Amino acid sequence: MSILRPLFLGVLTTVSCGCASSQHQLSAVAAFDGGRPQEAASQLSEAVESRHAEVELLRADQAVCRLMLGENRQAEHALHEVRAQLDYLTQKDLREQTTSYLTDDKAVAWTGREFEKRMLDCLLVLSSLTGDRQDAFAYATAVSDQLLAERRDIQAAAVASKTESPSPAKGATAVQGTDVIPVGHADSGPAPAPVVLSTNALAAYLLAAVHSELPMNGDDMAGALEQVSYWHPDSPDVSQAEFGVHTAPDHGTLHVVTFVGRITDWQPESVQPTSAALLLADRILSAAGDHTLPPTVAPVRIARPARSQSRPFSPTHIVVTQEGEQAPPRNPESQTSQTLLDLNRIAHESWQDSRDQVIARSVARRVIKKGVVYATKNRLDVDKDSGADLLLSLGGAAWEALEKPDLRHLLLLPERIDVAVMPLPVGQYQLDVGTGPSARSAEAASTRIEIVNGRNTFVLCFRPSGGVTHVVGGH
Amino acid sequence: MTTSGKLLCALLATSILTGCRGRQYAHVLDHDDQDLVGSHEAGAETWKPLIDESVARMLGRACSDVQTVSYTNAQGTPVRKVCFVGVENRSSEPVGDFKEQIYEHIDSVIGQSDQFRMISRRYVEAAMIECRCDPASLVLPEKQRQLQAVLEKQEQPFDFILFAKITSGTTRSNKDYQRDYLLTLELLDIHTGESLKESAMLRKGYHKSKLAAFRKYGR
Repeated sequence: MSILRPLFLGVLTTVSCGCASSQHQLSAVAAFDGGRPQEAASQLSEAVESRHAEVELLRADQAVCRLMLGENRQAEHALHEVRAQLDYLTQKDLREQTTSYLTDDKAVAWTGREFEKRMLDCLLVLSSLTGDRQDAFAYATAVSDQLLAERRDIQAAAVASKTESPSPAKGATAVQGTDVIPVGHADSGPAPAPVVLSTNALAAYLLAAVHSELPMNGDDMAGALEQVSYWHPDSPDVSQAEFGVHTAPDHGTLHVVTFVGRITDWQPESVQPTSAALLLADRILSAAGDHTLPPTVAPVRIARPARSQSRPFSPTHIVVTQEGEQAPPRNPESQTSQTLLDLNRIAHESWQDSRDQVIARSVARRVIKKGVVYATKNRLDVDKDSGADLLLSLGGAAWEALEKPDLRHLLLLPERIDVAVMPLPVGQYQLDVGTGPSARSAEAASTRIEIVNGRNTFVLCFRPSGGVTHVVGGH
Repeated sequence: MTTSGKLLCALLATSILTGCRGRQYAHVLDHDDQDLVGSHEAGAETWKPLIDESVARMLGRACSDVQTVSYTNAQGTPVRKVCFVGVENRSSEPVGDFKEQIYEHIDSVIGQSDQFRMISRRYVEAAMIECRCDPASLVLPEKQRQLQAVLEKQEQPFDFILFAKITSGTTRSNKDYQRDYLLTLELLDIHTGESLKESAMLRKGYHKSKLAAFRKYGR
């Protein structure tokens, strides 16, 4: 008992820490949905203190709260650190990989799904653009390199799959099995962009905004706007808009980026392994030893997004009224924002895209666990139908049952990103943002903004549960 | 070895093959260290020599060819006031963060010559914002006059506009390809409309493997 006690206490502490952390996360989500980012950030701080794993996930969510509070500097700092740490964790780790085959996918450090990482990159650019802008160019350049590399890969994969063989080439897996946006064909123009990468449209839009303030970078801005159209062909007027120094003289541009709703949660799903997944599982097992797949495989549990598209929130209405004594009397200008990203749809596509691989890992894990149990029985020479046999079989079943799908995800990302771009004459304005046509309803918010000649003024608007709760930026 | 032992060994082997996480490492290059050669795109190894060569040619030609100046130094040497309006990338590659460095290199190297006086980039950018012009539109006399007027208000008159342009040409041979990079500097006399053009070229071979490069070039 003297040995078991510390072990028992250790397990108890781990379990209680995990529970406390989850509780804090749930409270943070409730506070965020209720439009109380300060409380959400505090809850996430406590969750970070009580947890030793997935700290990056919590800190990224906390950064969203900081953005909502207008604390751009802190948000930028946190996002920068999280992004660097995710790049580090993306490398494979010996211990984690081994453990993941004996437990579940949660044994591997959270590195975020691809679209989540891209969103963090976009948030980093946004936090700089709404803050001191010191590093906006650097962040945008990093994003630009990624966009171009991915587009090149897609094009190369399309050409390879057309000229060499129908089997998927490297990079083509992103397209296979998912919706694609029909913008052309490999031999008739650019290869279609997969929906799962459409977060790149937001990245390209921000890149265009950064270049638009540099009069010598007109070609870069045009290239970035072309990228917006490529990654999201149905993109609103954003790709046609004129920003920064490309507006009329003595004009600047107001950009209102609205974070609507909260991204879908992920839930467990019991699925029958697909033939593609079984093929992948067989490859994993072949690499791991001389095991083969059993003739039948029972359903496995994986994670899937609860929603496949964003909820039908109303569009955001924006009204700007010029202020100041010197301002000539002008009628207020209004605009309705347009949806640039549907992150629930992207999450759904991401799930479909990686589904076979997740199932394959789950199947391989099950075979390995069964193999270990049978091998133990053989080694211990356990008689069939004996008590030890029953005990080992039950232990094996419990071992398999302990496996949980990887439901980890960023909780506080929006489910939709709407954008409005308004060229305006230089001056001070009152900005009203609401969900009704008047933009001055009970669920509206307002702030003062300044439009500077040839510059972009970024405003972030948050609607976590539909109504506008926070409007930040504008200077 | 038992089956479970084999299985665990195989698992361990698979995991070892996947490797361990490593922290990134960096070091400062010595002056005589060679630049890295970009494996997929042009980098320092391309742009630096192109800038040096094109600027040297431009300075050499400028001594004799163009004489329209509004300013001479104390020794009576004509000094050309130049408004450098940016680097255009018309190549098939993204230049990325090198674009800013190419500008700064050209600006500072030409600025070191006694015969040229470069207008500060800050003035140029502010003026371009005010008159809403981009490099492509500055061949139009009206836009030139607008820019001139704005800069003269800032007491920064100029006689020449300097354009820099990057272009590329690609020749493919199965999976290998050669790319020729051309950096062109064009000095446009806004009074006469005459231009002085100099360029430098660098060729680069891209191969799928070192063996492919050896097969083509023997190195």
